[in-house]
Amino acid sequence: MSDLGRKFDAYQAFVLGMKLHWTQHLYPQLQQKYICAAEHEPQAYAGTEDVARLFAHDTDYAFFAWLERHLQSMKYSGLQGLIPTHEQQRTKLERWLDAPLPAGLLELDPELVAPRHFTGVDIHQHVGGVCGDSLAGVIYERGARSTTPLLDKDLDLHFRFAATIASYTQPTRILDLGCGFGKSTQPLHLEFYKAQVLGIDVSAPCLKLAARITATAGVDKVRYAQKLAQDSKLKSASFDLVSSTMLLHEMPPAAIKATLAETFRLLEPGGYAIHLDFLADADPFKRFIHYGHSRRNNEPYMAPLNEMDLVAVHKQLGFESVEILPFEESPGALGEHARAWRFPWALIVARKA
Amino acid sequence: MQPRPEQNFFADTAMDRALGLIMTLAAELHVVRDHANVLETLLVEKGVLQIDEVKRFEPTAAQAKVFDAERDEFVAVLMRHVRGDQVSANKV
Repeated sequence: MSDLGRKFDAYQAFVLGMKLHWTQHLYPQLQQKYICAAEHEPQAYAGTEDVARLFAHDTDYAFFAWLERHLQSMKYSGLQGLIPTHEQQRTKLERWLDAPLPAGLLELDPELVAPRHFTGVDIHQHVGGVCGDSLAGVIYERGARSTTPLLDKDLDLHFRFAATIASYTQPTRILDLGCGFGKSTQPLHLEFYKAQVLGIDVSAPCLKLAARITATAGVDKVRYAQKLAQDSKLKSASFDLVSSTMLLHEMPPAAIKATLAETFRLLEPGGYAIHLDFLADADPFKRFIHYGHSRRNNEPYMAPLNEMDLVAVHKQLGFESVEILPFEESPGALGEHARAWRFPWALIVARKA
Repeated sequence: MQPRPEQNFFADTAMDRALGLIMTLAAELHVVRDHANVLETLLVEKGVLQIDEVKRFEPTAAQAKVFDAERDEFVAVLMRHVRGDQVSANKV
């Protein structure tokens, strides 16, 4: 049983069970419907808008879409949802988060104002967002454990990300942009254990949790600071790796461009920028589903990110080599016979000359 | 207050809202079923019940009368909605 009680566990297990069914059965059912239609009349279903027309009055799609939005809402805000359940433990959790940390582990900036694109929308239906309430980081961490329901442990993909970086470079000074509660920062430290790692984020509640987890693990080469990814105020050319995971799709294009420019400034010559994010390929069905997810899950910048020419943006900034590759978040996820719903994970790798 | 526009996926908004009711009840039903399973398991472990005693339970005539009355009352309340019956007098 978790520390949040049997009722919470049973409720969340039900919601997750529904989501798994959605992932493994409802999605393939829709995809099959599209494949049949496209095989019969390829020209009629060549664009995302054609797929939208196909499903405009489709009952299976209506249930699929409804469940995508409302299962997430139930997870956060239902009777035994993450938010009301954590509220019952507010005093205890706040005391735990505010306990003293080792010196230098966490640098908060009370003057920092989070950009409107982070605070104007309740991203992924987390009511109040991940920047505001003191428990937002704890709730976000708990919610992230079941974001990708087919993975046994969501953290696995961050370890896979760190291992993939190792095939490009062996960094010694790492900056993890939008590190949140340290979901990627810790795996980066474990993969490159001799490196100094700095995680930055705008969310104080997330950073407090990240620092608490790091302090509990007794790690001394990881630090956290409250800073903007697009204007970090950090020294130029001071890192040989700047990375991010699931950050870019939370930003409008102007902020993405500013963040990539800041990344270029912070890297030393020969350094790598490696981002893990979501980019749906040209398949009209997958793109339609991805853009729908963007609307239904309160992720308004997923679609604009998908429309950007990220290679061109990197090249304009001066990066010498840029590649965008599909990322296999779990073994076999990109396999020929994989049919379940998944995020269109993509790796963006750029090197500064 | 940030805007919170409703997202609808069915031709009739009533369907969206009714599905919300059903899913909330389904989740709560699962929680209650889990609770009953835990209770039964604990009672068996502590020797208060035999395994399957609840499943094999045969009420006495008096107990059956109470249970049946409760079931009939529940059915009546449910079916009242199906029939469109109103319980309070109202002016048409």
